[in-house]
Amino acid sequence: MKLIRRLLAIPLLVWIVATLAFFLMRAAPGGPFDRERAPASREVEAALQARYHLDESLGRQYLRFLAGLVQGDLGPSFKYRHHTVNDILAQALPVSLTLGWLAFGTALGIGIPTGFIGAVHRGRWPDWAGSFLVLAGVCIPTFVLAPLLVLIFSLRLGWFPVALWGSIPQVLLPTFALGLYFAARVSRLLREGLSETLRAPFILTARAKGLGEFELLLRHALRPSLLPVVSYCGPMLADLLTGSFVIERVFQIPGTGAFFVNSFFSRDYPLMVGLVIVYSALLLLLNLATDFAYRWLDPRTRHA
Amino acid sequence: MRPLAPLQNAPASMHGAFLFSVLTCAAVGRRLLQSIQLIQFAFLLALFAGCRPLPPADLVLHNGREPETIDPHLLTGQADGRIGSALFEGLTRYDPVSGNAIAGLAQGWTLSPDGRTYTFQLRTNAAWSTGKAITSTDVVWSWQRAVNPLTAADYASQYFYVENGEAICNGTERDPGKLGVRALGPHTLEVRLVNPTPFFLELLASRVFAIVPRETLEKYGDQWIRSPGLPCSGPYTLEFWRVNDRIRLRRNPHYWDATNVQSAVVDVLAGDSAHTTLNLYLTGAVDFIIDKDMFPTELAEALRERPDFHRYDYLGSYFIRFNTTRKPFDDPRVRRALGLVINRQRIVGRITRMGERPASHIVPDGTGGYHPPAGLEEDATTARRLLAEAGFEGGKGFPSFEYSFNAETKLHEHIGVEIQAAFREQLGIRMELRPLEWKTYLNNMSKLDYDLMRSSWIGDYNDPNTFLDLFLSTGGNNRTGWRDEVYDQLIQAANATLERQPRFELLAKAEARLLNVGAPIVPLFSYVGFYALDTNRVAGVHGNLLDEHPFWAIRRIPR
Amino acid sequence: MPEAASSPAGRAWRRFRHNRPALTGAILLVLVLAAVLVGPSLGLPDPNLASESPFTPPGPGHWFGTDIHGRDLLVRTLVGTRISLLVGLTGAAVSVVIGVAWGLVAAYAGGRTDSILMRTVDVLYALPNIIFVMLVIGLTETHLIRWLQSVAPSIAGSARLLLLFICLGAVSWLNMARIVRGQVLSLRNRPFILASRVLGAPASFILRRHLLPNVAGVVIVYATLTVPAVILYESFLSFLGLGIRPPDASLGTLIEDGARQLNPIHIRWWLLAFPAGILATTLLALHHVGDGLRDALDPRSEN
Repeated sequence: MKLIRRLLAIPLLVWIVATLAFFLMRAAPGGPFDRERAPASREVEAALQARYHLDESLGRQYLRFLAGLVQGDLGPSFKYRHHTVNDILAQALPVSLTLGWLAFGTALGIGIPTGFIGAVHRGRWPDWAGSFLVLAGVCIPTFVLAPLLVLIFSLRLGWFPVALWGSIPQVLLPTFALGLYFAARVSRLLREGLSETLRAPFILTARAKGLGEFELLLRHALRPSLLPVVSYCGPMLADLLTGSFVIERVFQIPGTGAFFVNSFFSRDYPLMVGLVIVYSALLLLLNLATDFAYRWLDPRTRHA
Repeated sequence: MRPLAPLQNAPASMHGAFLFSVLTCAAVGRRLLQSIQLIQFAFLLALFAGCRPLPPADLVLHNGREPETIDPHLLTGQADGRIGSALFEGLTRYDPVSGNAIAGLAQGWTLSPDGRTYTFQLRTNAAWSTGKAITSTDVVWSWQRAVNPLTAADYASQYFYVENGEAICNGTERDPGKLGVRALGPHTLEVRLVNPTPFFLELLASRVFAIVPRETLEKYGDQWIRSPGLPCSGPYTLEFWRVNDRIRLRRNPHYWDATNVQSAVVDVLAGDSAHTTLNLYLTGAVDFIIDKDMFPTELAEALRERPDFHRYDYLGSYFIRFNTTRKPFDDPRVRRALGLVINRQRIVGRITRMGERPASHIVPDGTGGYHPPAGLEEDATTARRLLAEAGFEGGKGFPSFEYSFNAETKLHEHIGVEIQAAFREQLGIRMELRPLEWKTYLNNMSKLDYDLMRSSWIGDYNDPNTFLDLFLSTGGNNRTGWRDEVYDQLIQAANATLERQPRFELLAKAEARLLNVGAPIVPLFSYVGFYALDTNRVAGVHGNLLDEHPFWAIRRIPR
Repeated sequence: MPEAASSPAGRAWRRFRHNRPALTGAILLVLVLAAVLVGPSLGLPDPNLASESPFTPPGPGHWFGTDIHGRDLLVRTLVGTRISLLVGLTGAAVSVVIGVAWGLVAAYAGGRTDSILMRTVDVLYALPNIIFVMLVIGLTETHLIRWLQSVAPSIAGSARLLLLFICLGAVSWLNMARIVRGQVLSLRNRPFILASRVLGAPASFILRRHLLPNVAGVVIVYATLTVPAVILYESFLSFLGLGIRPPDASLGTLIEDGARQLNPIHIRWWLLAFPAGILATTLLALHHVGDGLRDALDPRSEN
């Protein structure tokens, strides 16, 4: 029941977000067609504004937008004038989804083991070793890490191509660079959660009962410890799936991350709003999923 | 043109995905993680199904930023223009060596004695990529479309030199058919100009005069470029367009000069990062970096040493605008004083370091054979005197003001720091730096909401007028608030003069007045371009003032 | 030292002291703080003073080398770290205050309140931050400067900095709220909480005395992760002209400049190594201090 209600609420919330984005974007100074060169004549300027309905009142533009939205048409891009927003999303989203999903796997694949080991051997050398690798993801910003990886592994060692997208060798470096950043967070949060759980009375009980250490850790301790990780997974995955501006720029990957930032810079209202819609829908769905994951992970979170 | 699936090379990627999943599963061995990995694997499998690797191109160019539009009449950016020119041609086209206009779709022309009427002969073998012939009615229709205000072409102002062009563009004349161009026969065209225009043939090579397919436009409207079977009048056709990735062009078999089009398939890449572009070039993934913005300025000195980095003078100027409607910059003495303390050599030598020519004049030297007069060269004593005359002896009482610039690159900030130091040390006045985001920067410039603003201008054609007409009182690109009747008259007189020498003398007089008397601007330097070109790898590229390197002349040299 | 005499705070401090990484981290942090607060006045050149020796590698006179204008990188790094730490710590503090409050209330109240609060978080998270920051700074900066000039003229120049504190904190609290909520959800049905409720303790008491200390661990960890995020976000804002006003630089913008040295042609390594090194060291120290704090404050580590 609750699931149905939450699912039904999603379109409503996406609509709210889209509306807010629609109006907020237009509050920023400058317009999509401001250029260095002045328009040839006032008629030309008027024609341009009219073609994209920018001469109409905000209310009418909004209604036009809603009418399109209901039919699944997010409108033309103001900046990329031969493409509609749907075109751009259809091309860029699959790329970002792929990169993001692979980076998600990397983040968990690195973060969970290191956090796990860090909690179990807290304060001793395995904790240090794990922390060291993982903290690189926190202390070294992506715009330093990515070019550094390219410099070492692509240019000096020649193991990977320097940029572009389309083959497995081209996928590996960006995935690692993107994943490492999130791996750090996952690792820290898991380490925290697991240390917390290991102090709980039920663990003491289980040990007293003679349960093996490994089985204890994996079957009893890990699940509730994943709670902070899972809380973070929703927004993390949403961020990953909609692309990273820095990674896409450094590796010249045609994903949605670049469009997010550039559409703001160019005041491409429909593209920005379209991206926000996709992002918010994804975010809401993922948060719904993580909320339900809580209940599975830790039965104590079920509402009384 | 359906975009291909995002990942090619299915077999390799499937193996890779499987390996990847196994490794991460093995790392932890948790049921939760295993299910995630399984979903991952399934996802990748689904995505890779039916992918094919992309066949390689004959030439790979890096064109800078993703083009906004390649409709030749609508485009304004250089990157956009290169692709526009590859697909659509006009009566003249750019010579790959000099950048000057040479015969394009027109094989010859005659000019009437009064210099106001051209008669063009179209090539009889001129044809669209569909095979259909290009006739003079196509030319007439294209021009009428470009000048029509409903088309909203930014460069429609180039048609002002043609009879009724300005009137149609302003809306005063409602019928675009009244434009001074008519078809005399299937391959003969007559063009009537308002005044003799010495650079008219140069103008005709520019994109706004390109010939576009009427039926396609009438059928598809705004989305005509990506319609299937697009007829192209230029050397290439559009094979596919992947946003933010690449545009693939294929040689147009019906192009009149198809035998001289060097590369059959050209990939035009798009990207934002100069460093990545450089890496792609150094590793051979890109043959030639055609866009001068994709040059990492931090590496200026190191790159200049390399034999494959070629420097050329470029038709552009970097200058500072004053807002002459704001105190104290409404006083020309103040403006001149500020202009007199700037050390251009220092800026060019320490900040930009690309070998630009420091310039106190706005028109780059040698533009169309013109040699500009000197502007305000460095002279701190006179500057201090002028400032004192204006009432700010030793800088006392001078309000602190702001230097606005766009923030996406640090270059403008660095130049600003130099200027800030010069003003402080030489004149004792305080300038703050104000970085702005791009659209805000443009907005402030057009609303005259600034004190001093960093600016640049790239010339549209190889003639000094492209720079000097910026500062006409009526010019929309003036953006300084400066008005001077004498200047306006000099420019208009010059453009009515046919002979080169007297015309250049008038222009020089106008420029001298602009730089030394009115001084609403302070020019800093003339741009240089760099292109990364290994002449052992690529042929057909030559440096020229206009930075025009038509794709059809370029080819990769086989190893 | 007699054990029985210490208070909870004293015991916490002692636990912290015995935790070696935490102690090292704390010392490092104190050193860094001392360096950035006192260092620039110790006979180092002005951070914005240009010189005739641009791009000199580290050596006597310029221990961190110089940049394109010949400005001393050591003093610029110290001043930049000062700004960035200020921005980062304040931003993290703002995000902790708002995020913890929001998450606690949402999870404890449950039901409709929880739904509304968390959906608000979702909506705000989905909207691009840059718009907010741009609008807030664009609309309020000039007014703020004017107001400050009349009220406290000496800090009028820091108007941009103040606005950044607010904006950056305001965009970082969302994830904190989510994580706190998750944690509280697992705690609220535990026996000791239920017992408190049965005994008639008011919600505020429970929130303060029972829940808060138990989420402290996660909060501290996430706060130490927020600091670098805020620092780097400020450097991203500098592309919009909304960051620290040039010629001043923050650690983030110095690192950004330095990152451009990562190329195969010519690397001026000092432009990246020193600012990035300082950032990494500070963050590592912060991480260990956070750990130590968490261990020290945890009532259950008293065994």
